[in-house]
Amino acid sequence: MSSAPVTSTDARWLVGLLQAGDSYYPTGAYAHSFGLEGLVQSGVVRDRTTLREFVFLSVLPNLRQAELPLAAQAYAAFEPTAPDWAKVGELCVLAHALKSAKEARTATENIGRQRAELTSTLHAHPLAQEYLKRAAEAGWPFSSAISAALEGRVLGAPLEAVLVGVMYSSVAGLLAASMKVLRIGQNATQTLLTEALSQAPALIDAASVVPMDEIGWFNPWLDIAAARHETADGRMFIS
Amino acid sequence: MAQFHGQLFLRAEARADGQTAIGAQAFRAPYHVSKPYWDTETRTLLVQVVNPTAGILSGDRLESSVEVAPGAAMLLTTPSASRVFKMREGEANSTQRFVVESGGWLEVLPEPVVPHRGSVFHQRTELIVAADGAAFYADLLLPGRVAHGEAWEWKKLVLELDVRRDGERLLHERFEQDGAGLRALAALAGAGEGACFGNAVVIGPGLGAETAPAWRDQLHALHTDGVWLGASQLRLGGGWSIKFVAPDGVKLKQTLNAIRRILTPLCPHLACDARKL
Repeated sequence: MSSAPVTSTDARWLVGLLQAGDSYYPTGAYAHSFGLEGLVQSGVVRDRTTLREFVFLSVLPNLRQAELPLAAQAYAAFEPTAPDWAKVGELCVLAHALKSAKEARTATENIGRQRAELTSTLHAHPLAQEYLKRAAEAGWPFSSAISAALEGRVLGAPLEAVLVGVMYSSVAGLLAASMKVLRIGQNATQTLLTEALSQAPALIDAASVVPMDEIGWFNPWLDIAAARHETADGRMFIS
Repeated sequence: MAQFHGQLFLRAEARADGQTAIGAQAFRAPYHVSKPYWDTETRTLLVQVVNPTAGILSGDRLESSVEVAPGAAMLLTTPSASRVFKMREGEANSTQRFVVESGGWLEVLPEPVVPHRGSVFHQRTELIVAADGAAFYADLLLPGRVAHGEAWEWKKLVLELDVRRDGERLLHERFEQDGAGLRALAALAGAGEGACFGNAVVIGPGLGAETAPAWRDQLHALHTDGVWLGASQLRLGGGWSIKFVAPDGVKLKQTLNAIRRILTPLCPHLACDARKL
């Protein structure tokens, strides 16, 4: 991190990313547990210890190898002066093809669509408008990581800040969901969040250099639990 | 130690009498193709690809390309597990391409991959199916030489699977783990040292009609006695992902056989017994 004074330009994208990362921002992410509820139902995640293991063994590796590289590649493709729309379309399809469980695709579709439309509505930026137009014409699926990259470009945020935003919203969203399906409190989840976020510099460095053809990672037990969650008798979350 | 650059090309074609036959083939060591068997009951050509060497060694490059022409039906299997041996340096690579043309059927049912201590193996698989073609593909992974007390000790394993139907990408999976990482995930899930994995996809024109078919409930009922199983529809419909984990290799094979039996009413060629050869 630079120790240079914050400029008014930094403040503009910074407040924009704070707004987008807040649970008050209506992307609908609060309705998803991103597979956690299925793992709780199957007895894998039971308490703070097993939740921590899940975060470090599954959530962070997936961010490093899949969601953050998708966002990084999309950020490059959304270069405002010369967007690479073919690559954007390829990334949209890849973002969905990486998820074998239907609920995981539904989650990223709904959150990504809402975030892209909000970006266009709130900032009236031609890049966001053009993206929505092309997505509608070509039938591109939406992705939360790709919409985060779009929003970052619209706000003028640097790549590192966009990736930090993706990491924060992913881990914080999961931990917020954990308080509804586990006997765990805010202090316990905040200490976990702090510990997970301390991995951000290494995670973002690694994710930034993952090439297109090496994007992807999965945890077999999470995919199975997510598939079974589709037919669960009772559930609190959409995914 | 000799390094192999093995190549295999097979093309199954429907003859005028409706039977499937090998229309073209080419292979070089370590690949060898056994004499095909026509299964009259299921109208499926059963072909076994044999690797007569002990297994896969550092520096080996295996490339296979298998095509099923319109109206043809083939089951491709192997007679024994693919052992990936310890590598002091380097890695082994396998690239597989399976193409199913209009009205064709292909089942790919290899025996499990067994990565030994210190091995580095990268397998890339492409499955390309025409709009009205159909396929069943299953990858099986054992944790190592469990009987020798060796499990989860490989250095790096990458299994990539890319599935396209009618030109659309349905699935792109990349499973990249060192042995220790997968052992830790298995421990978190309460699985033992012998936990084995199956990753299957079934693609076919009739599979998109229902988003909650009764046969999925039958598949999910296999999730018992230490077996985990989840089935979910792939993007754009027309295909399903079926992942399963079993406590040992025997249970893994039993689960795979049960999956095939449950799906047989949808894909009748799955009734073909791979062990008939």
